[in-house]
Amino acid sequence: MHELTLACDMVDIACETATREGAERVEAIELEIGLLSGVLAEALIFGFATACRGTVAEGAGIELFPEPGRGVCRQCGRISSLETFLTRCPECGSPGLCVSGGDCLRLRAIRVS
Amino acid sequence: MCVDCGCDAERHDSRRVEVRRDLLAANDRLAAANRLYFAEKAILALNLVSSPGSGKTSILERTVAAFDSRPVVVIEGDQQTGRDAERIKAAGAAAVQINTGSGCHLDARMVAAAISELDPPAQSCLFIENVGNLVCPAMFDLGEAAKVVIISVTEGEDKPEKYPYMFRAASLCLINKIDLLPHLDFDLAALKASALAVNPAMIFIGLSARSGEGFSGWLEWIEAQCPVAAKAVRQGG
Ligand SMILES: Nc1nc2c(ncn2[C@@H]2O[C@H](COP(=O)(O)OP(=O)(O)OP(=O)(O)O)[C@@H](O)[C@H]2O)c(=O)[nH]1
Ligand SMILES: [Mg+2]
Ligand SMILES: [Zn+2]
Repeated sequence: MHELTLACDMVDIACETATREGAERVEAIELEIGLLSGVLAEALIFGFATACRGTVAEGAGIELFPEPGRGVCRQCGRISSLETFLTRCPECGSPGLCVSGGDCLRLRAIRVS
Repeated sequence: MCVDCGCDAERHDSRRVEVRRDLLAANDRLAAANRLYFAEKAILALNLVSSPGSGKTSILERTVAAFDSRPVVVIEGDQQTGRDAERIKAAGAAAVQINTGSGCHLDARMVAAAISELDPPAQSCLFIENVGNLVCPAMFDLGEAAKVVIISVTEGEDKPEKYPYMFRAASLCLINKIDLLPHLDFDLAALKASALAVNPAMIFIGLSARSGEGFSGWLEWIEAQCPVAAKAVRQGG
């Protein structure tokens, strides 16, 4: 459940931002989630529901923006979509593509009031 | 249409604020600070990860006794108990225990705190035994030079493909408990193929913390990872 650690960071950042903006409440959070980030959206949302209690972000909705995985072949350089780390290069069949996208978890924006 | 966000409401009181913060980066910044500290003191830090009971502490006990070219210090991570740190101290090395409570992994902040308590000598070798867990520790950089994943021959050959994040993140795979091989039908070639499918650069060393077989290869690997600057200093002086 590393998602709980990340959910706490998410609450902290949302609350800091809201306070800096002079807002009273965080209504929603836009989150970009890479499909190869190793982060489980359900666990993150569950962790957030606990971590936000008693803060200005309590009850905020989470809007997910999934980002597909992308990989570069170490052999031929072809860029392809990567569903799992076991996906092979569609061009030359090499395993172990180098991840070039879809491995991040980014708090894109918040909606405050 | 509202001017704030383009939604259908005539107007509303909420507004959108761009944040653009990478959530995985908070730990990375602290890990970078640890890495800088290790570089300045020419400390080799290795992060040992495995499922519970693969033999991390047993390997470290024997390593502490056998690795004599540099001082060895150990950070032990477990959810509860100080048992593993006690085992390391009994084996002859300085050790600090971190208890993560309900936490399932060490993070860079915990390691920073342990370092300040341990105060490892310059040019030492720091082993960080992570919480037994093949999932979460893969996501958290501690500032180490390399992750070493340990799998014992009593686990399945297909573990790497089941836990690809960890086997991708590691540079070396120690295959432990090879003393038991005659009693099992464990397929070493299948394990290696599974690990290479997720990480083509993986290096393997088979060993036994029980018998000591294979330890020379492990000790040589450690020696080869020691920071170059420190090697030059030692050779020069
Ligand atoms: N036969 C055999 N048993 C081993 C070997 N290495 C470790 N063991 C046994 O495996 C069990 C677990 O070893 P530990 O060293 O405590 O494992 P660990 O990975 O540190 O465990 P956690 O810290 O609880 O995750 C103990 O009963 C050890 O005696 C080995 O090479 N051969
Ligand atoms: Mg242990
Ligand atoms: Zn290719």
